Amino acid sequence: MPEPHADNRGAEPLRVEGLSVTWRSGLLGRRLVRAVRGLSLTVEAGSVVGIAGPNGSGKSSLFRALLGLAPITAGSATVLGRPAGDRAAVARTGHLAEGRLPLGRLRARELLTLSGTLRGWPLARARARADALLDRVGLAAVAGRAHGDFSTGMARRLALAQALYHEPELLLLDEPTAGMDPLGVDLMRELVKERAAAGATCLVATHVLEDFGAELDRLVVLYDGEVLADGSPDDVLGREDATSWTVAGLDDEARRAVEAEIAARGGKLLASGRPRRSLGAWLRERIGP
Amino acid sequence: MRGAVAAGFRTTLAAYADPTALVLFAAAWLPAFAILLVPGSAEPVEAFGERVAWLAPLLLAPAMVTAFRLRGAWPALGPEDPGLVWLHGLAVPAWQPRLGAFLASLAGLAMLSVLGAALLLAWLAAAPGRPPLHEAERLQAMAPRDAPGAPVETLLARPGDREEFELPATTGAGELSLRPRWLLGERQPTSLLLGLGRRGGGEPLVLGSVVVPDVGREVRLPLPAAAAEGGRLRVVRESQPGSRLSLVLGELWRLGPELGTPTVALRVLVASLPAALVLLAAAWLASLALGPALARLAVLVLTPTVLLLLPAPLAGIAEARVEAGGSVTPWLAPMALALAAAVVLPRPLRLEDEP
Repeated sequence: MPEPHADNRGAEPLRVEGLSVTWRSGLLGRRLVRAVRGLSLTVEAGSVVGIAGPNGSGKSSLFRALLGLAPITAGSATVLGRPAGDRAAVARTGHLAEGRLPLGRLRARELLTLSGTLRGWPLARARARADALLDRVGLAAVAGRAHGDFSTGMARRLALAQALYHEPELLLLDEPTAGMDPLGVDLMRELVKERAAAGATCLVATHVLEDFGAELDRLVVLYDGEVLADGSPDDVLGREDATSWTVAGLDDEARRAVEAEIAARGGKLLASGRPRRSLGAWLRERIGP
Repeated sequence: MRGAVAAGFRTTLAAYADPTALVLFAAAWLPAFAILLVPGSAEPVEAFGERVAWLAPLLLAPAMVTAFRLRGAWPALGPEDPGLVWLHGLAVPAWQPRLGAFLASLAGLAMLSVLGAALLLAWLAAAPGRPPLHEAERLQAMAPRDAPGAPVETLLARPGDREEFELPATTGAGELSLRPRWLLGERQPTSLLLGLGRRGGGEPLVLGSVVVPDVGREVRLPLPAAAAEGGRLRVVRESQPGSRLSLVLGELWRLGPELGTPTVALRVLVASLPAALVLLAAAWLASLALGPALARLAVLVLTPTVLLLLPAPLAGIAEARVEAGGSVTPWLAPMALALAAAVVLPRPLRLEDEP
């Protein structure tokens, strides 16, 4: 695993000041795309930050700029104490991008091993790490299959394993749960928590906040390339003027009594009933985590 | 750096062990090779040579297959390729695994070509009734005047003037070519009488006469098996005086009486490798700096240009074709290369809204 640079050890994982990302698109580059506009953001080490926003709000572009894959046209960005795109910083960053990993003809184990040997790891160490990670993300049984044949959820698990391969200090996860089944979402959440507990900083770009609701220390909402809101999820989203319970063990008679008591105390019952069990809960019970 | 180059090399080379790749390679290579190097049983040498000249670019089909495999095994060829993003995320300079992949593709190409040649030759040898491989081997024939300290060049000016050449021994019937050089004066068809003075001192062997046309070009003369032991070739001018004629001994062809050795097959194969390497190198270099469309265009234009300007890559295959009895058509191979390269370069990307 890459050793942190001595001069950057403990450096602020991410500092972005007035960042703009702009490029030209379309035939002959006539269309100017301003993906990020004057964005400023500082992230503390070990925190899990959600980057939310509708499609096209600049989440992926921000990540790409941090990795040096998109042009920074104004402002600055420092990643792990180095300028954005610096190879030393990229080497300490794990990136889960949208879409599938390349080299679809390689077996899952081969691809992960390759990502180790490309980093200069000895083959035996790269293989051992690949096997351990495939087991961790639940792909050990299909490690010998070409990953181009994987389902979307399996491909995301493999991409996650790839992003975690070198135990990065900074994780950039772009729509990590897209196409994943409930168990995959659980796994993703669990691994993010693990990395954060180990001191890594995680940025999770998503528009499905429910997938990471409890894990987020902070929520940054982007819209049209600008920060619309920034703070703890509670501060940003606020609380509904309603109280919810999830109560087990009541029969219909007891439930009616509770509802009557709520009404007697001036409350207005917005929803009541016995909800259907979630698919995730059902799967966890049947086939385990 | 070495790790990334080695990883690219190993991964790409591993792709050649893929059964699909082997089948594709065999499907593309063996028919091309068979068409090129197996003459029909009654096919004259000249016709076979012409066919070889036109079909020689088919030998480049394996290069195309190889390049397809290269693209499939290692798609990080273009600047907008998703594989490039992946490599960047690994903090690996893209050129390193690309270099490894490129070297591996060359190694794979060479390995598969030799394997294919061996398989084909084994198959031909095992197939009863197959016409023999056309084995042609240029032998060294030297005129006495070419030897160090030889007297001044002999000219055939009057009837009875004589020129002599030293013919090496061959293994059977063959074909001799003479290249006339007309000197000053009016040209007219000139008849030459040829004979062979045997090494053992026996009766001279009359080989017949040939007419050298007034337009200078190669003249071919069949050599019977009786001439196989070699000796001193005597060329005597029969015609009336005219312009003076100088003769240069051209290639001496030897036809194998049975299935030939793999020499010619392997020679053509090896000769085609530089062209294939140029193809891959051009594709690789173009993809380093250019987008897919521009790279295609550049290779389409530049490859034939470079190949025509630099004869070295072509010299080998042209030589091999000549040895196989054909003439040289230098534009065919570059064009085939260019088309192949244009086809096998990275496919157009499905670009997203974001770069």
